[in-house]
Formats: sequence, C-alpha cells, structure tokens
Amino acid sequence: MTRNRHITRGFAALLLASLITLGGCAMTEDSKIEQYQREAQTIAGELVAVVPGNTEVLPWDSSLGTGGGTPDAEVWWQVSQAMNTAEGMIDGASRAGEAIAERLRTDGWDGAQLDRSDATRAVYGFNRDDEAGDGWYVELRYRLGENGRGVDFIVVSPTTPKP
Amino acid sequence: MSLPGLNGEPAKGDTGAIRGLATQSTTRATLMTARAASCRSAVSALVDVTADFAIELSARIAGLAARFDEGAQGATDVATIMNDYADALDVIKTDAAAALSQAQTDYDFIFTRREQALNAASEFVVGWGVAWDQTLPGWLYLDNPDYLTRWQNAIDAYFVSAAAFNAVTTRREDLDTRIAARLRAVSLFAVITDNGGVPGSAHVTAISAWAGSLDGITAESLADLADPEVIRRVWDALDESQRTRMIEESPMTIGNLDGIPIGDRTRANAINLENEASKAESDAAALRAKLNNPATFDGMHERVAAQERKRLMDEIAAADALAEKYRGFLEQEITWVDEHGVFHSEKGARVVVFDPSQEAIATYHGPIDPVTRDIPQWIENVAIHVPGTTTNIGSWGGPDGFGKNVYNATSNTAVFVWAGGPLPQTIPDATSASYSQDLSTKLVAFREGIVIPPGADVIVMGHSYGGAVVGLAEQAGLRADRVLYIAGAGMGDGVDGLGDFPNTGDKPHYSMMSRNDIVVGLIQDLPMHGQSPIREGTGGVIRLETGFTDADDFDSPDIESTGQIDSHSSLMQPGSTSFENIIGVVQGTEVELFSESIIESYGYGVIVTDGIDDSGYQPIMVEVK
Repeated sequence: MTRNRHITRGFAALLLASLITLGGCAMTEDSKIEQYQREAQTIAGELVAVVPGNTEVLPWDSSLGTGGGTPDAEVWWQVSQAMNTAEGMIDGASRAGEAIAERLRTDGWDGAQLDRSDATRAVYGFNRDDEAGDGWYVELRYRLGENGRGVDFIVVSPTTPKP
Repeated sequence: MSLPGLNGEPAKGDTGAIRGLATQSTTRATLMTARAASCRSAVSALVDVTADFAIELSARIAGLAARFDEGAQGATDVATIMNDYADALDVIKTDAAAALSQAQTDYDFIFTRREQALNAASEFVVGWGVAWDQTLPGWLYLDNPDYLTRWQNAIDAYFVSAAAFNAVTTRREDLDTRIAARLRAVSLFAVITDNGGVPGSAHVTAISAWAGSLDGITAESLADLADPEVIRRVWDALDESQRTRMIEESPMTIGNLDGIPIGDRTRANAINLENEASKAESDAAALRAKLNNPATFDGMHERVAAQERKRLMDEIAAADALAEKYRGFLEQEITWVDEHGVFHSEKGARVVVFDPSQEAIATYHGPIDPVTRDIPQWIENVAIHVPGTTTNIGSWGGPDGFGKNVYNATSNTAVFVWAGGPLPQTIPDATSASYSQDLSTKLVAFREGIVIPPGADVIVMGHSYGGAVVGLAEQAGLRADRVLYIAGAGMGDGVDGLGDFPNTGDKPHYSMMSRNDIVVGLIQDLPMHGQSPIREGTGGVIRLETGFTDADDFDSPDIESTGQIDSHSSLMQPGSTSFENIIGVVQGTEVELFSESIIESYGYGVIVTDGIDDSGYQPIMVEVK
C-alpha cells in the first residue's frame, strides 16, 4: 500500500514536471509581454525604494498599453506610480525626484530634462536598451518648490506583438 | 367660423386663465423675494463664523439669493406681460364679437335682398347657380334696376363688415407676436429655453424647473429637454436628495445625459456597471446550470451535444469576461492631482458614458470639484480624445491608457477619452463612413455637455478612424480651440478642408502620421474619409513630425522603424517625438514641424531621404497658436 502510494506520488510528480515543461514551452511563445510586465514592475519597485520611508506611495497602475487603431497594433507594458512626500518636508518632491533620477543614472539609464518642464514641475525622460537592444523608457515628474510633494513616474517597456 | 371670407379666431383663448398665470407668477415672485431675503439673513448670520467653510458657504448662499432675485424679477415681468395680454385680449374679444355680429347681420341681409330681387320661381330655376356674392345680370332688371342695386349693396356691405372682422384678427396676431417678443425679452425666459434650444415638447419641464416646481421632473423629462445647458440648469436647481433619487432610479439615463456634471454621471455609471456586471454573472450562472444539467443534452446526437456544450462554454466565457471587465472598471484605482500638485487616489474608473446596448463608453482623467461635481475652475486645458478602429468597451484599456498617459504628462489639464457609439472593429469595416457619421453629432453633443472652466481651451483629437469622426463633428458644429488628427483616416466623409468647419475652421489644426503607415496611409488619396489631413488642400492643417522613439535621441530608431503597421499606433507611445507633439498641442506650448523629404537628383535618377534621416536634420520647433 505504501509502495503504491509512492508509485502514485512518483507518477504525479512526473506528470507535474511534464505539465510544467509543456506549459513552460507554451508560455515562452506569448510571454514577452509577461516578461516586460515583471521587468517594469521590478524597475518601479526599485525606484520607489529610494524615496524617504515616510512618503505616501499610492497604488500603482500596471497595465497593457497600446496605440490601437488596428487589430495588429503592438502592445507594451507600463507602470505608473504616484507618490506624495511627507507634508512639511522642505523641497520634498525635488529631493525624492532627484533621488529617483540618481538611481536611474546609476543603473545606466540615459536621461535628460524635457522641454515640457516648467516653473512648477520638472520632467525628465530616461532611456535604456535591454540586452536584446529594445528600448525602455522612464518618465519622471516632480513638483518644484519648497512645498512641492507630488512625484510620479511611468515605466514603459518596448513594444511587442499582441499575445 | 361659418361665414365666408372671415379669417382666424381673434377671440380664442381664456383671459381668465391668462390672468391666472399672471397671478401665479406674482405669487412666485413674492415667494422668491422672501427666499432671497432669507438667504441674505443667512449670509449675515455667517459673517461672525470664522470656520473655513463659512466663506464658501456664504458665497454659495449669496449666489442663491441672487438667483432668487433674478427669478422674482423674471416672474414679476411675466406677470405684467400676462396682465397686459389679458387686458388687450379683452378688448379684442369685444371688438371681435361686435364685428362678427355685424358680419352675420350683413350676411343675412344679402339673402333678404336676394329674395326681393329673385321671386320664388326664379330662385327655384336659377338660384342654385348664383353664389352668395353674385347677382343676376343687369339686363334682367332693365325694368326695375333698384332690386339689383340693393342686392349688390348688401353684398358690398358684407364685404366691409368681413374686412372689419379680419382687421380684428390681424390685431390679435400682432398682439400675440408682441407678447411673445416681450416674453422672449424677459432674460430669464430666454435662459429657460436657452434661446429656443429646448424643443417645444419639453417647454413644460423647462418652465416647471424655472418656476421651482421640480418635484414632478423625472430623468426622462429631463432628457427630453435635449439642450445640455438647460439640462444643467435644471439639474443644478434640484436638491441633493432629488438628484440622488434620479441617479438611483434612472442611472442609464443620467449616466449618459449630456449636461449632467461628470461627478454625477460617474455615480450613475457606477450603478450601471454594477447592474451590468450582475446581469452578466447571472447569465453565466444560468448557462453553467444548463451546461451541468444532463437533461440539457437528452436526446441529442453525441456530435450535436458536443457542439451544444461548446456553444454554452463559449457563452459562459463571454459572460464571465464581460462581468470581469465591468467589475474591473469598478475596482480600478485611479489617480488624480490637485492644483497644488498633490496626488490623490480613488477606487473606481470615472466612467462618464456607459451604455453597452449602444457600445458607448467614455472615461475622464482629472480632478472633480467637490461642489460643482465638475471640472475645477483652475484647469486650463480640456482634451477630448476619440480613439479608432478596434475600440469597444472590451478593449477600452488601450485608449483609456492613452488618455491617462496624456493626463499624467500634462499639467492643469483634464482628459476625456470618448467613444459614444460603435467604432469599426476591422479594417474593411473602417472603410465605411457610416460609423463616423453616426458618431459625429454625438461628439458635438458630448462636448456641449461639458462645462468648460472659464478661459480653458478645448482640444479635440482623433486617432485613426477617430480622426474622421472629429472632422465630421467639426462639420456639424463642434466647438474646439485646437484640433489634432493622429494618423487620421481623413477629415471626414465629404469634407474638403477647414472651410467646411463652421466653428473650428479658423482654429489651429494639426496632424501627424508616420511616413510608412499603411493602415491609413494608403487611403489618404482616396475619397472615403474626405480630405487627407496630411496632404495639400486642407486649408491650413499643420503637419507635425513623428520623429523618433526616443524624442531626445536623433540616433534612436524613428517611428517608421517600428513597422508599416505598428507605426500607426507606436506614435502614441510615451517618450517618442510624436507623443511629445501630442502633449505640445494639448498644452498649447511647442511642437515640431514635419521634416519634408530631401530629394536629390542625379544623372541616373533621384534619391529621396526622409527629412529626419538627413545629416543636416534639425527639428523645426514652433509655438502652438
């Protein structure tokens, strides 16, 4: 009885391994966007980690992006993240924004301030190619002024065919 | 009126009823004056209150007092006009009665004279051929022409009295016209009907609302007003409990009614989404029960039963997907930023149009004023984006994400993404102009239903097929300060250029399209969606550059490199030159002009180089007008 159970367990393990293998094979065909999703969320998490601990981090928006207009439009993954630095923290948004920018530069992102920046808000665009040579983009925005609290960014993956 | 030659009924109408209306108006004026006085007392009482809310509350109550004063004045004016009308009508009624009596006497006298002129035998023989206003020929009365003369005189006398009666009719018509003009001149009356924008069938609702009789107004009678501005006015006149009742009782009407504040539309559509999700879940449960009931397949051939199972499973999957989609809107976390740049988060998408039966949906990205439940006054730009082919409620995430990206990339801007009805789902469908024709007037109404903050610009943009929708809406009278066609299919079926746009023809127009777009690029020179927004002949549409996938790096891949199909949509990806140009148009700042191709001739032919690929390429930036 015990042996049968072991046999059964062994068969189940084999079956499970086969399913994982098969499933894995099936997943690789349409997993590019899933990879992008994981990577985008990882980048967003790493950037949030550099802001002060008392920062109010709002729920992120992690979603599939597309320009649409045709059934064949490619897609990308994007994660939008907004935060408010603690009330009363002087230059809170600028300091948090600069910390994020510094982290991006350290990680090899190439960034520049965009013309969209104005007297109240700084906007930076950062680019980096992944190992496959596909371009990633992070746009960082933060409120200027000593009472500025709002910081947000968007992580945008390269495009890939719709799964 | 049985007498010949008499026109109209100058005595029609009940002067008692008119005076009753005048009395009602006077009563309303008195009540409103009293309410205005109460409001002013309340404002006085708040003077010493130091709490933050007191200033805002005082301003609102003072506004209410002004409204009551305005109403009282309007009601007094109407009472005066109505009394004048009743007085004048009394005179006309007397004159009309006298004129009619005279005409009747004169008409009867014609037949007295006629009898005298025709003896009984003659009447029998020839009378049937002689009309009331005719006599027999004079040669028959050579012996005694007096009979004929008196007969003719009687006829002439009737003509005079008939003319007198008709003159009274003319006076009545003049009176009605003058009174209507005086009523129109009462500013409040003009306001009530939006200078005639309210259809006649809804005048009762409009006037009831104006008079303060709001209890009988339903969502349906509100919708009958058909004029977003008047709908807004009536809606604002309701109290919160009345509005809530209407939202809860008729969410489908209120959630899709142009003129209702976006905050209230969102509330109504949350109910609609919940209802539709529950319905889809209930449908799925019923289908599952059917699938799991062996009796469903009793007597079926095995192959038929398998087909039926497959059909049921497909329907279950579709219902599940629908429920999940609708619940997704309700669960969605949205983020907006206030005027101090502080972020806020809320649960639930701001769905401002939602009607699955019409494939209609629209969402809003931006703040909502807690008092007006609408776009706050500090917003400087209001953008409306119309997406293109393949858009539907199920695929809303894509267009909505673009709207969200535009909102996040801009400052002091609110963004709507709108598809107020079906859009084509396939490229062959997209060759038909019928979708754009149906949607164009809806877009005009939707825009009219949005209360734009004073001084804010309205920017309307359309992607792909949405460009044709925008163009036809412009032809139908859309009002906007700037327009952008993003990879636009055309400027709309039958549109020749900006000259066809009554309200936007003189406003800045922009377009952009990748050089190798084959999704709509190939139809730019075909007539199916009107004038191309990127070709000559638009009358002033400015073509913008799509540039590079990395706007700041001229060595990065250009938008064309994403492919002939994908460049139709990749130009909307954040970080690209094209996306920056979209933001420039929305914010009214700066944009990059399209770089024309460089054509170099050699002995053996010509070489054409895209402007952005030329070694001497420099972006040409211009301010948005």
